[in-house]
Amino acid sequence: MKYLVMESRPSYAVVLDEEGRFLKVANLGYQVGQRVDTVIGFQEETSSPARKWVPLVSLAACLCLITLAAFQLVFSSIGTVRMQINPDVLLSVNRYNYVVSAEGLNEDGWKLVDGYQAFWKKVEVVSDELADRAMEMGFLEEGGEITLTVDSEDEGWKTATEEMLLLELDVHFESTVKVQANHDSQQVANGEEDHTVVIRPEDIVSQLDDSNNSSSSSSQSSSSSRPNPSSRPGSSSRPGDDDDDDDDGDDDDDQPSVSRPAGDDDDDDDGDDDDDQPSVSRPAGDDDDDNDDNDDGDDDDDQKPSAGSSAVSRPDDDDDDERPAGTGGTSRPAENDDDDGDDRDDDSGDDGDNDHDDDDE
Amino acid sequence: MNREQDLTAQVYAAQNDRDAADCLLRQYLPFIKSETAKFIHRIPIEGEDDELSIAMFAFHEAVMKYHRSRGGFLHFASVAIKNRLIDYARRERRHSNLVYLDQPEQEGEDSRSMLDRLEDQRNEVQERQDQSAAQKEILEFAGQLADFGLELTDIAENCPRQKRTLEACHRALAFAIAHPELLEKLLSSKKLPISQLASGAGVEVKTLERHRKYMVALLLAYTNGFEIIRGHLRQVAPRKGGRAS
Repeated sequence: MKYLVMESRPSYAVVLDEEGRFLKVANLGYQVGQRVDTVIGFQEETSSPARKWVPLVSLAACLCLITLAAFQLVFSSIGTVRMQINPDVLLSVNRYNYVVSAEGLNEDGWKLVDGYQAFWKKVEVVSDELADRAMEMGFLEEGGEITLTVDSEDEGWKTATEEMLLLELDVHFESTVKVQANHDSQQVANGEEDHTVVIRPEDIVSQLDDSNNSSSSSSQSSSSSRPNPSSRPGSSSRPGDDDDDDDDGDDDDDQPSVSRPAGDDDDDDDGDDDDDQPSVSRPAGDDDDDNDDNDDGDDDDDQKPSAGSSAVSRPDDDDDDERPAGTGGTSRPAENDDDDGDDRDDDSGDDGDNDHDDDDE
Repeated sequence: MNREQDLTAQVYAAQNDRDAADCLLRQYLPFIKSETAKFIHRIPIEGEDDELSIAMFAFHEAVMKYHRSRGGFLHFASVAIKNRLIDYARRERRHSNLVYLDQPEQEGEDSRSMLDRLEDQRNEVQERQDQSAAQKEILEFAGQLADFGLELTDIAENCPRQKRTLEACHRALAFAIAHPELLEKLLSSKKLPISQLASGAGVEVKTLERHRKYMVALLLAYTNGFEIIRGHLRQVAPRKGGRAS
């Protein structure tokens, strides 16, 4: 392309190209009328419109990322809660315990969920409201039964939510409705409900009453009848849990497992004592019942032959083995041995610690 | 501080006044030279070093584009100059493996260059005559533009940048060439018959209005007397050379 120089100024020149454009170019010593082959033109600002978009686009991209992350965080469900009244409803819950979706698993379930705004409510609220709704719609009446199945990858969340919901529903209905927790969704699906544990508030109350009575009586009897080695020197160094667990475990014979503290173990020794003494009434920090047990074994047997039989059958051992929580079954025998050893020591050594035992109990 | 404000005021004045711009450039020529010297590592010679011309052009660009929000003018100008020179150096590097015709062939040997040995095919006398003829015509053209109150720089600044707009303008021009009475009307009334051009050539009035100055220059070039310019504009109108009215 040839350019005809039309005007020459110190700082620039105006040239005419062959397509009829007048251009302002760098004046490399041009003279008017001269024809030149190449020119250096004014810097085109073509990049400026693109550059104007760069911050906007990057901002939009950032927003997209943040939104996506937030969506991921907020709307991804951490677990599901399945409510089976007769309508079967599945609630997906996010990590902040908000319900992100509710769906029916059977026809009644859909009916129950239909028209109900479950989204973005706390799961405990939704469970209450759904149960209320079920009552309104006639699916649930007093004395009815609700089965909850909580499922999640996150074990902690699972247990926490389960307990929370059980409590919540129970409080909500003031114990007029039976609320069950189902621990294994598989089994629910198969219709086997072996492991569902039923909380009946009446039971607890009656147990509490029983235990109050019995504990008072047993504590009296134990304090009077046997020497108690709980405060011997060895006891302080021992892991306290085992012993506690033992006691609790035994209590559980009488009690539904749901109400048990999670860490229970070792029902072995206690079988004897604890029939008499439900743990509900006992403070958690009890020590050295094991030791007592051995001792008590004799006493108790003397007093109550039935306790001995329960100790032999020990239905709870099985339960404990199946339970995932707490110290595993493998670690237990060793501890038991220790206990036994202690017990022997206790038997031989310390007799004077009755006071302690009493306190504990 | 005061000086800086003065300079900013001068730059703003130069943006609207070409003579002021030239004056500013002359005033700041040492600055431009020093910026160029920083880049080429020697003192540039006026009229010989392309780098200096480019730096001056960059300075002019900087004057035109400057705004107070961009910071101090001198810094802004020095960045503009540097960028321009870097661009230029990159462009030149593409040709760095070429041999210049006017380079001496061998050091020490009597300094004949390849250019000297080539047969000169250009008729220098003819060329010079052509150039002076063109110069005369262009001056005449500029004078006629002045009657319209226009300068060539105005036209360069008003020239359509987009190809589509340029083509639209050329369609209007072709229509005017086909209807010489329009060109006469332009000369007599000193006004661009925009509406007739727009309706006749099928170009939007807005487009022509926006590039009015450019259209005036283009149409003026196709009135009588500007053979050389017209000869140069080979690709504009379908009929080469146009028609003298």
